[in-house]
Amino acid sequence: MNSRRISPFHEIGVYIGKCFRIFINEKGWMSFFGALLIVFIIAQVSGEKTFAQFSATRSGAFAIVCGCIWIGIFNSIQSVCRERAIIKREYRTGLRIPSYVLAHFFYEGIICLIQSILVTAMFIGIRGIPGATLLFSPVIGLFITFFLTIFAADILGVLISCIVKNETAAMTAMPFVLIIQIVMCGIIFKLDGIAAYVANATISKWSVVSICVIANINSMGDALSDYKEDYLFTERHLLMCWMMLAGFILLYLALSMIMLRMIDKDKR
Amino acid sequence: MMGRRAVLLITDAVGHTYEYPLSGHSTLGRNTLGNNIDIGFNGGGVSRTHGDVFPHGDGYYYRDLGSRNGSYVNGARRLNPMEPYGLTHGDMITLGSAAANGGVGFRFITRAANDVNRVSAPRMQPSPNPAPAAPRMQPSRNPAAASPQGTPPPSHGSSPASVNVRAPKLKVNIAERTVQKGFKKITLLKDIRLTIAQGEMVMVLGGSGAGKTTLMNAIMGYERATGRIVFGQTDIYKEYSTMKYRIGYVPQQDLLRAKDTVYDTLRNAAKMKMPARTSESERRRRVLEVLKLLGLQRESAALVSKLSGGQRKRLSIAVEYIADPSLFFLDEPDSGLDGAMSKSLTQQLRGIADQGKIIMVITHSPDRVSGLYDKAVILAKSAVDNVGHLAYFGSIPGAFSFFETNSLEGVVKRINRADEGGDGKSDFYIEKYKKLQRGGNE
Repeated sequence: MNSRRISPFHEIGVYIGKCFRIFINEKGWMSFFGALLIVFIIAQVSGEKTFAQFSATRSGAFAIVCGCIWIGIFNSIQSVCRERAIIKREYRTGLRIPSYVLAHFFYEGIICLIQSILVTAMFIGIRGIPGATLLFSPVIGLFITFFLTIFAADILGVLISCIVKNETAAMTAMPFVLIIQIVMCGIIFKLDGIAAYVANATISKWSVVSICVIANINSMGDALSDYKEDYLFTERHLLMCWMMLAGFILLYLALSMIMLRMIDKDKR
Repeated sequence: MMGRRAVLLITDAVGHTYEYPLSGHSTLGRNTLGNNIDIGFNGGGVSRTHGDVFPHGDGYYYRDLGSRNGSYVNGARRLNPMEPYGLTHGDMITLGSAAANGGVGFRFITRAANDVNRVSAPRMQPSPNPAPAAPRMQPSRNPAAASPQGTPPPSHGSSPASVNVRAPKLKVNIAERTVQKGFKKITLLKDIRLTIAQGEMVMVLGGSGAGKTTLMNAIMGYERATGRIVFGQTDIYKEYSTMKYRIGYVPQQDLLRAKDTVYDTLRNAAKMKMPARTSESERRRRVLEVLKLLGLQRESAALVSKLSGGQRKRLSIAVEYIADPSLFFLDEPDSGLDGAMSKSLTQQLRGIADQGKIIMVITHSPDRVSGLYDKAVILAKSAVDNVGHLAYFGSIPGAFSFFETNSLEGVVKRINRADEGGDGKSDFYIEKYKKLQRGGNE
């Protein structure tokens, strides 16, 4: 082993420190105001009947999930590609790509945690707390769902940022990613056949289902029987949704490491 | 050394001198509690395990074990880490520069086996005033034991695989460098042979597209060419995974994070590039040393985005230099700088070269600072095969004579194409240089 190298653990620490320093120097905390504004607008638009009526809850869940995905992707979609030339240089002198990506993972995780707290507080502050306890209190349940949604979208943003070569390409790709999340989650359109399988690959579907389960949407007066199986008020069902979101996070993380390793092939 | 014995005359931080007879492998380092070394020093710039002295064949060798402040021979030349230096009678090895350390170190002395007269000053006397603790002397360890770096010293009488008592040179022997574009193989460089000695600063000149950056990337090992690049006894291509830590490269664009401070940029570079066992205080000292060397102390708290072009360039150099590389490559470090800043920057590079580094610089403004360079590599793109060839390698005055001009811009003009404002004589000089090489004058 080359005794000169710092350990991967220390390397991760170096880059996490760098991320936070840049966050402070760039006034990254202003993004928290953006997140609050988005949630405020969505909460106002979603209406008073959110968590009271089936269709309003479903629509409100869809809207807030779209907001969370937007917040998450915007956190990170330019974070890697904007310094691609720097990373390439550092990679050639010994930077471990997994350490770099993991540093972003932990840094983004903390940012998403803070945003989730703000989003939860703002949303339930305006729309109230759903009246059902499953595994955890509804507030904790919503917080976990918002965190997993924002974080999954964030790491998806990291993945896109690892693939594209510059910020222009990243911002060009972003609308397509959002469209898929919006259209393919099965809320606007009922999806059948292959489309239903594609829906399973979206963050939005599992997030919307989580919120609807936490709100015990099946117990609402106007609940539709077609969706009863989708929104079963069971711990197992809720955990499965959360596990899917966690799975996306890990999948995007692994793919990010793989894709960023190809940085050496960038032409001069 | 038959019939003679070897002794180290050791000078400590308070100026006392005493003898340490050598009888095998001995380690030198900082005198701290729990530090298991043979000869301890109290100088602040001495690393925990600074170096070692070991016997091999008929002589003794000193080796710097990757210390932060380095080891200097006879007050001038800085030794490369892990490269044994053959000690001769009277050699003075300083642990760290005189400025960093006040000159702690030792002088290597050989005496006749029956010579009982001491050359040195009397043994250290206790001081009436509180003084730093005397350097410890312990019986030397079994010379067959592994060095602290895990690399066992060569055993007595064996042929040293890693000993190189001469200053390592960079030997470049590139047959060709090609790239694949679709189904076509395109040759970018051909037949480049040159040798650069330690302490030399070499400029790389040539017209646009001649292959200057390609050559540099091939020498560094980033882009492999067909051939061999050897530094000392190390094949850079074969041992790239370890050699890359001894190579510094400053690209043309300043690849710095704009929203980080100068100090934190360097601190992170130190943490990433310096040996893992370097202490935080040693890293901090190195950062401050490099900031001072490159004139960035006043900007240490500033964001990189607030720096001027020249300051950013110096910071880019500092980021690479912090790891004390043996080989240093710079791609147009003076681009965008005015004459005064360019000269100042090149003078700083000259100072780095004088510490025993090999520096190669691509520049498009050669005449401003040609006096600071030792040699020039002139590349020319042949009109016949559209490939970059070596048109000249040697001293700058030699280049003027070879190209029959009195400026380096004039040299480039000779080899540039006519439609680029040149004389279109690239093939003439490529052939002329080949004849010169065949004639053995180089």
